[in-house]
Amino acid sequence: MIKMKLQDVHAFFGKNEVLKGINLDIYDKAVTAIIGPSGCGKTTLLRCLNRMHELDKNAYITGKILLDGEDIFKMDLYKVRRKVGMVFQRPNPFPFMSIKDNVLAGFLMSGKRLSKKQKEEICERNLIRVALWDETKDRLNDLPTNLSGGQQQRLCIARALANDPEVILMDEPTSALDPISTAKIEELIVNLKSEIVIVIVTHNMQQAARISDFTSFMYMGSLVEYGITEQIFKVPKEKLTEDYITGRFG
Amino acid sequence: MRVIIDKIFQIFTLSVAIFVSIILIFILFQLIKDGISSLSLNFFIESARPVGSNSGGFKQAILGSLIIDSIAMLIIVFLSILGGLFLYVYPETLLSKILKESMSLLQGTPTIVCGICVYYILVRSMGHFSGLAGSVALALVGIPYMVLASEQIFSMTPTLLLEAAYSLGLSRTRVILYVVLKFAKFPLLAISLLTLARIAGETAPLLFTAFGNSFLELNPLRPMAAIPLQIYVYAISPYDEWHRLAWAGALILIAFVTVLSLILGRYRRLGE
Repeated sequence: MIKMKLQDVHAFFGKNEVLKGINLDIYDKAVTAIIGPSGCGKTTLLRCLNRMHELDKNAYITGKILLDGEDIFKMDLYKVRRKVGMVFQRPNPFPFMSIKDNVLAGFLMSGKRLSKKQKEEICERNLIRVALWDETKDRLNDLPTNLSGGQQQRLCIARALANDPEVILMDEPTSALDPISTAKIEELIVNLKSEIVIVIVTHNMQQAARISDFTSFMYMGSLVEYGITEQIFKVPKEKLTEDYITGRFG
Repeated sequence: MRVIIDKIFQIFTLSVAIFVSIILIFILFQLIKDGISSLSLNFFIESARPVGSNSGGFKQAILGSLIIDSIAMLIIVFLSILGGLFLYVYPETLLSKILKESMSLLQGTPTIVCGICVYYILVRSMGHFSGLAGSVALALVGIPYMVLASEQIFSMTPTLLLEAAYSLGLSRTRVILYVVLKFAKFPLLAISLLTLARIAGETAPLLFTAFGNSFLELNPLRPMAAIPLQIYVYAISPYDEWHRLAWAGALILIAFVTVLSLILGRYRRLGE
């Protein structure tokens, strides 16, 4: 089943066209990886999916992006971002909030009132989902700056999950992490895909091969090839894809 | 040759530093020597007395400064945070550019001009001098400094945190309330203390506004005494007795600013 559908999506920074007519289907209960060399527009494509691209005042998007058949440009902007959460390249927990409040940030900052019991439930459930509960249950009121980089990134995933999104966008979530933390996050992504749609941008092709069900290869703002991960890595249809995954350029 | 030039420059900078330090130490030494001898309990609990009574203190000036500076800081902090936020949120608008330019201009304006402006606008319309007019004049001195500093502080909010908040589906207002202002809490406190340290020693803006008062006056709608004003009045008087009190007042002022700096240092560490 298709969760998100991109139809002829162009993205611009001022006059500079960064995405050139992307058509892409993102499937439910699956991990979709976006790969490609630096500057090919992977992150821009990802940021179009929850309209974060438009945060830059000169940036705009044309084309259609459908979420469950509904055009996200006609939906309430804040609702789109609640439904399509995001995890960034570098861990970015709020340094002035406790670990617990970071998980609850989406609720606390939007002014939603929760009972103490609800807060504890949401916090525990989401920290368990990201396998961080055992490491933090005794210090929930500590600041997140005391956690390691990998733990901070998992906390950010918990923060995004607590908001109850339907899709999570991950922009190279492991690029700033050590191999052990990377492995934990990859395992987490695989476990989460049964309940949530994940779109991940990665520089690391082995990572895309390990964790994704679908892979899209981008080059110079265009989508060169898109398909089942195994097919893309084993029998790519396009010469450019083959050259990239075999390391001839990149 | 390179080593020689380096040495000459080192000696030059070192001697300038020593020269400046000597002047500073001399001022502090003089201040402590002349000030401390006049400091007593009476200095804090007695108001001004006529010459020859061999007593009298700064009570009315200390309390006056406390009231005038507190009101001024309330005005400064409130308006500056709003002004700084406006500059941060709408940096490209014409109003922002005008505001920023006028703040830079006001920052370089002699403080006595602020006093004269408030005299014409507030004192004349009220019909008399008042502590409140003094606070407004001091606020005019402090606001430009703090508005520009607040804008700088707000712009230092890491993009990473802003994006994290936006990605949770928060509106700009909420991002400003919960991320920008929270992140700026400690730096804003530090800048407020610096602004307080700056306005606490200002005399010129108070001359035509608070005016001074030899008697204890706690109503800010009446003319009020303030430490810098009292120092000014005593310092230009021909009486040794009043000169000694002026030194003691100056010492108190310096001590106050030093305490503020120490608190600032502590908060800076907390902020980090």
